[in-house]
Amino acid sequence: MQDMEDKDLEILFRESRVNDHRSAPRFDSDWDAARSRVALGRKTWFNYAIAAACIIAIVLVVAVVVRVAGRRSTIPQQNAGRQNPARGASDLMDTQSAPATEEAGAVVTPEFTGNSERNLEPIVAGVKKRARRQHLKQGQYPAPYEDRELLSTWRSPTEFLLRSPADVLLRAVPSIQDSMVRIDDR
Amino acid sequence: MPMKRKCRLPANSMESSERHAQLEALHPDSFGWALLCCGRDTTEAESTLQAVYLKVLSGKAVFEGKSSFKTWLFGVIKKTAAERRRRKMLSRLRLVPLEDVNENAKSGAARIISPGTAELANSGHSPDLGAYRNEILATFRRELAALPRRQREVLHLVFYQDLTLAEAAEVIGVSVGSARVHYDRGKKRLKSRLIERGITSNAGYGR
Repeated sequence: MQDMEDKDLEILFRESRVNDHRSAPRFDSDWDAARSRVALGRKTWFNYAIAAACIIAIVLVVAVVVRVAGRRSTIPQQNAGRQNPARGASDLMDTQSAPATEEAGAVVTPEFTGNSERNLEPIVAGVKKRARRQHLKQGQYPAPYEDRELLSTWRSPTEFLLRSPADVLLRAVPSIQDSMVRIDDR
Repeated sequence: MPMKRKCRLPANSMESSERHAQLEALHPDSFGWALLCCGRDTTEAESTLQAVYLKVLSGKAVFEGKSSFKTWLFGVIKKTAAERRRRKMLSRLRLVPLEDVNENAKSGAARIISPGTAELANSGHSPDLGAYRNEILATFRRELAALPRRQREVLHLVFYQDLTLAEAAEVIGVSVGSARVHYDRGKKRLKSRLIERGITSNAGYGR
């Protein structure tokens, strides 16, 4: 009989099933393996969370430190603005060159003599007051005012190198009588 | 009006122990289904089952009671096996890391089940008869594996797992009508191929 029925297929499938069940791994081992993988997954997740929290904390600390250090550095700079060696040098140059200019009868600008800061102080104070009032009106914290103050008082440390006693000639109005060149003499 | 008081039972522990028992009872059948889904690679089938249990434990696969537990579990196994197969294919193209796919390769090469000496020894028959039965079984498995995937799966679910056509359709995700078509075509093709190989009703495998 060269035929096959559903029953024969059933028998073959049953045989296959019996063999597969024999070779099936134990449930407990698979279950435990899965459980350990779950625990491992949780552990790695926890580790990642801790690492992320540490990184955030470090970034915050660094940001705070940088900010505090920045504020501290502005205070000496402000003081240095008042006792600037450059300005000291320029003042020295002013004092040295002042008699010469007076002698020459030149008109000396107040900025060059170093009195400009003192002269501008009331104006700067007025500007500051107005800026502060504006900020308060707008409900802003007066932080930008501090920045503006810093910018207005900042001086380059090498500014004195740009100055020379010959600057007087450029700033002073020459008088024809004192001129060394005499046209009539020719 | 009497006040109703809600009693909270430790549902989770009860459910989990119940689930554990159900999974344990279905483990051999699940392994058989996983074997079919993984091309009879035992190592891969075992890893797939572990991945399924992992999904159940981590709550990625939740049984909502829309079908029988067995149908649901077999659906999860099929999906997981397909995911792993896809990952393996992508890993060959180096698109996903190999570690997930080849985690079992550490323990050694994959084993492909074929009726061999172990089964022969366990068969309880004489060596000649055992060898003959194993040969028939090997031919049967080869021919079953040569069928189109849907036909193979429907036949396995109906004959091997004793599911109804409707349940089989649910597991493989097709309509009952197309499952019936796959079943009929698969049965015819398998029978004709087995007859070509000389396996007929009087071949003596049922003895």
